Amino acid sequence: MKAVKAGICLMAIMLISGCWGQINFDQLTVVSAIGLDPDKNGMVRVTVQLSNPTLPVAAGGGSQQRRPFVNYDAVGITIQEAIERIQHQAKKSLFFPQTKIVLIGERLARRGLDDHLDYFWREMNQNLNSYVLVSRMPARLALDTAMELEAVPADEWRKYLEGDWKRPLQVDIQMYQFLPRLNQIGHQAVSPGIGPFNKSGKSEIMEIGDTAVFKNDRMVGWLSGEESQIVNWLTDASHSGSIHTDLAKEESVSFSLHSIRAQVTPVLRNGQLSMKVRVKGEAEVLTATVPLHYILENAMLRDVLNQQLESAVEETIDKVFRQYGSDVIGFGEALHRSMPAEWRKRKINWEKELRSLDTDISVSFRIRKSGLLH
Amino acid sequence: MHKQQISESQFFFIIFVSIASLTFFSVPSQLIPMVKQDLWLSMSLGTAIDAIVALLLYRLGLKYPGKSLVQYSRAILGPAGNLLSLVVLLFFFAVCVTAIWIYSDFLSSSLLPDTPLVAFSGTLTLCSGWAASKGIESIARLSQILGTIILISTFILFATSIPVVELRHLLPQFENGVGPAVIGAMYPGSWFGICILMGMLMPHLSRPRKTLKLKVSAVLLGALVMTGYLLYSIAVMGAHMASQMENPIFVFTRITRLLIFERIEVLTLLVFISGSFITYATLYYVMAQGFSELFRTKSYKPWVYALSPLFVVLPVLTVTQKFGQWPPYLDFWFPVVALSIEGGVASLLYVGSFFRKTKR
Amino acid sequence: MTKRQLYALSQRKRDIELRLGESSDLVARECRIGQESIPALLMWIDNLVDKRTLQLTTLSPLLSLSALPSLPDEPPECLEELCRSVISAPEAKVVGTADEAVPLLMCGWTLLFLEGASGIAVIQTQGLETRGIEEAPSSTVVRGPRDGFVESLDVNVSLVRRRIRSESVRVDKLVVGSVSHTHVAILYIHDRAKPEMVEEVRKRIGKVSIDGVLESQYIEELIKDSPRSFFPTVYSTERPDDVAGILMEGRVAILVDGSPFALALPCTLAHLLKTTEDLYLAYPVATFIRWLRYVGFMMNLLLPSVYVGTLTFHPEMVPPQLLSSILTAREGVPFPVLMETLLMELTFEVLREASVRMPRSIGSAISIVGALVIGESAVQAGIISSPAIIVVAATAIASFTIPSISLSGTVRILRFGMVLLASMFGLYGIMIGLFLLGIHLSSIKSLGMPYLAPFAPFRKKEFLRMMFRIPWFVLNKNRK
Repeated sequence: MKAVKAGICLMAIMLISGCWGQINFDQLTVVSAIGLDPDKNGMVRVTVQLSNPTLPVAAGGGSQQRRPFVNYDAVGITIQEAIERIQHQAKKSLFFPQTKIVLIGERLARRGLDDHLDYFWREMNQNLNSYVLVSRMPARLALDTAMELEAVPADEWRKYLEGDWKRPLQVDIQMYQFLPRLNQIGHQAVSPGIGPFNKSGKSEIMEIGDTAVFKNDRMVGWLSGEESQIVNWLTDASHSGSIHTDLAKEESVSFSLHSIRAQVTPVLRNGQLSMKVRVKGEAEVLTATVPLHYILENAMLRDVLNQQLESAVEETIDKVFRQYGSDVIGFGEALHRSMPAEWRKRKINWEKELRSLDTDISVSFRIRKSGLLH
Repeated sequence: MHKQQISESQFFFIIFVSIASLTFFSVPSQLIPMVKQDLWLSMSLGTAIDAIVALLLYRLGLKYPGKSLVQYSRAILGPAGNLLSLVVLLFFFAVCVTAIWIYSDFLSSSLLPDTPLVAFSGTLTLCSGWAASKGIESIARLSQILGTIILISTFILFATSIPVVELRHLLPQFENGVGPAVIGAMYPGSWFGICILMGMLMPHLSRPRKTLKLKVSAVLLGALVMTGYLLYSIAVMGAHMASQMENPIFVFTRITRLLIFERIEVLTLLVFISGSFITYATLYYVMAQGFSELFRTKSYKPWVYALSPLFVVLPVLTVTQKFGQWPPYLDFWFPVVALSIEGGVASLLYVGSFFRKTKR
Repeated sequence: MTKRQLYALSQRKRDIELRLGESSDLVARECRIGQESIPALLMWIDNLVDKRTLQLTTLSPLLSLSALPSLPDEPPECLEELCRSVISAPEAKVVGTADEAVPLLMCGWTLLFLEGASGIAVIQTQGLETRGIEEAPSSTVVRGPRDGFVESLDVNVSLVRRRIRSESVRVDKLVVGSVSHTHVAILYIHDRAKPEMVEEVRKRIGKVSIDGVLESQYIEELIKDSPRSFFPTVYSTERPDDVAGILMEGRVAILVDGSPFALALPCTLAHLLKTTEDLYLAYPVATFIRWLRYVGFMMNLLLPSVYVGTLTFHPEMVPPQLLSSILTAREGVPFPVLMETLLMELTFEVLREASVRMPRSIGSAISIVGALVIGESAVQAGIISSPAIIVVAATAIASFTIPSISLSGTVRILRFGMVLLASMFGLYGIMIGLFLLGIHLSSIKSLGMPYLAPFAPFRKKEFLRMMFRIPWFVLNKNRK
């Protein structure tokens, strides 16, 4: 009985004292995006996009007269320090677990990320499923100016990156995939880029395209959309794509590509390492600027397609390996998996190995359909 | 006194739940950094070690039907047997304290960061102590339900996380040879070996002949499920990152999402917490029962009450004081001592029983 | 002559009158029987006897008697002969002393004294006013028999007997209560119910020592296992078909005079979540409904606590869009989540209690006021957030899916405990609560049957029968 009484007292104390660990739910403000920019003396400028909670449009939330989001930024040596400063500005309790986007400014990415990003592993509340983007303009600016159909741009970006329809031309990478690859020589990180679409002169329209290539924790350059799709095939991230082949001058045929299976195998011959790439798949004619006769020209089309793809793959690998010296295809890991001993020998000089690597590429697509026409 | 009885499937689930939850909290942080992709070998070796111990205990249990480890060790070795059983019970005690410590330390860093450690050890002791005082029958019944829940949720989790898995991460196998995997077997082996509590549970079993088969299959299933968890977490994060995590399984469940729910790690954690409650309750009961048999007290219940303050306080003290420095204790001392006690006691008794038989 | 004086009627009448404290409803009627005009005395308690029965079965045969069947010299024989051949009541016997006769008198029997006879003839003339058999209001069904128990034990036994016309149905009557002398009947089928079970029930009822039993709840509390437990370990029902089903399963039913609620033992958690209607509906539908009920049970127990626990400790678990909705809905609400939920739960409980107590015509008014005032205005005024209302309403609706009133009450109380635990430790607290509850449930028994029976300890056949309503044709085939 005494134990029961003591228990009740204890419970009462806990209840009255307001308990531990409770979150003040009403002060919660969801952080929808985090932007990282470089600052002087190796400091980092952190931008935090806080979204105002909105009712769904169906519940009458469309007519709300509030700013859908607010950006705060602060500078600190660590991300944590900057976020603490932001806390003072925002006066709300920042809620990180549902961060959708981590936007890294290109300048910071080129300076090197290693000093900062371990925060995302360590901190309990960070969202490992947030998507990583590299911004061509300063992240702060990108977050400020972006306008999307949805009230909070980060929501829109995330949905886009999550969706499957963008996959052929776009890499996507989540925090938990991005972080380990920053230190992984055998499979370096890539990340989609975002930047203003300047051609029409409107700077608030952001285009997610191209791919930032990292070498260790430093960004080294960009890949175009077509190159990204090849990287995606080679890393087994997507199995479809599209290509526009040039048949003749200003004449082109567009294909959509399906069921792509790419194989990257390391081959060791007389102590010389080379890379064997096999890409197989099916193609479908989508549109052509020339009249086509499918049955007659099938073989010709196929050859053109394969040839052009082959050179595209080669160019991509060349660009990545020779120009950037970065193993975004994961060839190192492929070697690691199949010949661990060899990998241990070579990984110290992996960059040099990459630059002098022989590649043996073959691409074989077959044309399966030609749409409704023949 | 009416002896409480547990059925075969209940025994099976007690062992399974214990294996799963102890492995969840205690093994990953040592095993993964050391063995990485080859951990399945360590796990299976651990199971094998355990099966041998189980075989010895099974033979002993059949030779002395209706008697527990404490009772027959007295019958075999006389006063020295008492000492032996005291060692075993103290070992159980140490295991409990260690496990509660790991448990509360982990929970206070992941589940409820602002809650003091003592709240976890306190609630755990409260729950398992209460269960222990209700007797092994209730624990066994509940373990049946919880075991099923663990299995179902594991299945759901594995099914939903297939999209994030990259099997490539599991290669290459045996990068550094078989050596680390064999040495690494001592971690799961030492925790699995806690199932020598089977020696204490056997007299409660309605059909002791089936014990060995049940026990081995339960450990096998538990090891299988946990190997699944560990390999999944490596396959999701890659061996490099997984080995840096304090508990990779937890991070793995953070990454996985279930339908529209993005953070299901708390649910997984809760399932294993409930498993831990059962495990500690069983250990707790076995300890209390063992002490009462050792000192021939009438009931085991006073021991339950007597032990409880120690369980609340000791794990908290170990953290604040230097005595429980993480690495050497958990990396080396605990597994080595545990294995030698688990294996040593069983084989000593077994050999002793032969000796005694021939003397007659 | 001395013998006659010994059993003088006036003296014996006085004796009885004194015993009853000259109670005014004690009626004595003197008469003379036969040609010998032997004085006789009839005594009964007004209103307990059916006067018409009395007149038909006792008075008129006695008065129209021409000759006493036996010699007046041996009056005891004579009394027995009277009972045997003259009195046409279905039950009549001779008892020796007033001590034996008075309890029967109190039950509505009529006492017949005969001058010179030492015994007392007791004649069953009971005629209690009873309610007609109506539909049981506590458990109505869409399909199934509509008769419910009434307050009369005899009628109730007849309702059960009518359904199982088997010789093996046993009815044991016991009298409980030192003042109320309530009749209690134990019903079982003797070749299905385990004898030790029946014996145990009889023993437990025999042990009951209480002044009065006004409702079967008295008995329930006195005979249930682990009486401190919140959970009902005795099943109660108002439906004869339910009791018939229980008997067929080999369980034991207890009927208490004066209460339309029958008790049944053993009773496990699964029994409490079953209804008789399950057996009358098509098997897929019945199975679906049964699953719904399990879900409803869990929802009823956990929904508010999960709401509080998730929002105050683990908001990251809430899907983003939902979180955003809840945040907007809660904006400007003055109460914290815990307080709001507790407040609404309390309001609901008050409302429910009020609507039970209200006369039926006002009850609907209460519900309108409750729904309008609390549901609509509180949200409009921004005092309570709509998610809290939704949670409480869903819980309330879920609570009505539990067929057993006593279980539903238990869960209602435990729900508050869960909310408090959740407010302390979040979902971890709920886990603690569930574990303690689980241990408690698996440690209690009902008449030797573990309370979580088909689930833990797991029994495959019963488990299947509990999870699915096995169609009758399958059972039929099995029997062949």
